[in-house]
Amino acid sequence: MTNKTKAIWTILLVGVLGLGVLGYAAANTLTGREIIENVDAMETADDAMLLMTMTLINDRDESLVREMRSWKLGTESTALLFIAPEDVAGTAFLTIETDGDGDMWLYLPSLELTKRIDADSKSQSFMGSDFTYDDMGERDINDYEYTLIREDEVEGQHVLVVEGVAIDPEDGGYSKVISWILDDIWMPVKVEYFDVHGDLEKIQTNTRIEVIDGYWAITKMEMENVKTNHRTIVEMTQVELNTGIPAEVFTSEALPTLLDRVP
Amino acid sequence: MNPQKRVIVASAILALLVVLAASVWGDETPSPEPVRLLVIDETHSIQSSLQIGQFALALKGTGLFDMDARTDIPLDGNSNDWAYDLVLIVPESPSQLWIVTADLPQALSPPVQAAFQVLKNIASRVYEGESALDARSVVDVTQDLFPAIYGGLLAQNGWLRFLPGSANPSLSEGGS
Repeated sequence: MTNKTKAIWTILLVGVLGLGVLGYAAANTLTGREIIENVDAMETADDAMLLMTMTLINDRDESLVREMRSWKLGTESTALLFIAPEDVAGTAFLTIETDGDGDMWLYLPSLELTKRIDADSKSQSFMGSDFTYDDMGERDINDYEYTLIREDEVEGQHVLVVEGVAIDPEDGGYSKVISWILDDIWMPVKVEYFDVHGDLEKIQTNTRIEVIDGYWAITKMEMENVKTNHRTIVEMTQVELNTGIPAEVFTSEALPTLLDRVP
Repeated sequence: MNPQKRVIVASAILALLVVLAASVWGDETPSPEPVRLLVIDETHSIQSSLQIGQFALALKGTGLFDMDARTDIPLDGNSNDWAYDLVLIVPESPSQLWIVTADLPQALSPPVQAAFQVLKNIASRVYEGESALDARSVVDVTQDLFPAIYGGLLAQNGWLRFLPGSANPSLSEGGS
């Protein structure tokens, strides 16, 4: 078992096999921590290649669509490339998580410049969206203390509601995170994020969860900032798993060439 | 029209004016030589970096600049057989953007002087506007000590080009 919780916004690829051992009956006796560990422990694909759209919608219902391609290696490395619109095309990120620390690089095509980014900027907005860079990466489950606060139903499905209180709110940008978790497949359907002052800031709704090549995946989600009425919808339009992505894709040197890998 | 598009349109208009101005100043060639610009991005945050990327895109849109970029101020000598006309430094701190020249702006050659104005205009729109993600004041060698000092240093090390016969305001014996 790793000590990382899977990225909430990015695709969650969970092995279907073995789900039977963690059933609804057992869920009632689990602690909040154990529930999150179950989410964290789900088997993931070795690698994944995703095509995604990210739609930004402001409080006047004006929208902006961005298209991205992402390469993931396990839960540790992610390379992400913007391919549209033109003003961001070629902009690329590389995140490598090791032992609770994350290294991040950014490639700016207009300057043909690859640069390393400070880890403390990961709580900033991701390309104008309502997700932060931390939301898209891996979050250490040890950063929060968990309590199962109740059982509930979401659209007729039984869920466990787990509250995670941040040990250091300044670190991840949230003081508290409340997750509604399907206890048959250990996938979150809804997450509420509270700012460092304890006020509700954002609500994430995972609107499409499906099985792809034997793995559970969140393939459509929406994040709403309740303070600004700004929303972001992320939708996976293409998912390819276990294709054997070469390791060199996940190097800072490869960032300028990622656009060449797009068919 | 969003602020970024406004900047790009304004830049295109400015670029057109520069081309026209160059022809008025007696330049026989229809398209002037691009001005060599070095962008030094010392920032480490995502927002700052992305804003520099957008800024560079707006500069590219003018067609005026031949740009290179790096993440540190070069302290050694320039081993190339050419130098830059302008250097733009985005420091980690203070919240400024330094437009660095080897000489006073008014002493630059007409094409470089025109490009300098375009650069400053776009920088002000991007960094001093209300929608700036990383708000900074834009200063040149006449407005702050930092760009003046780096102007002298970079000229002495051969990174910034002097006009023949000109005198650097902060480095009277330097230059290449």
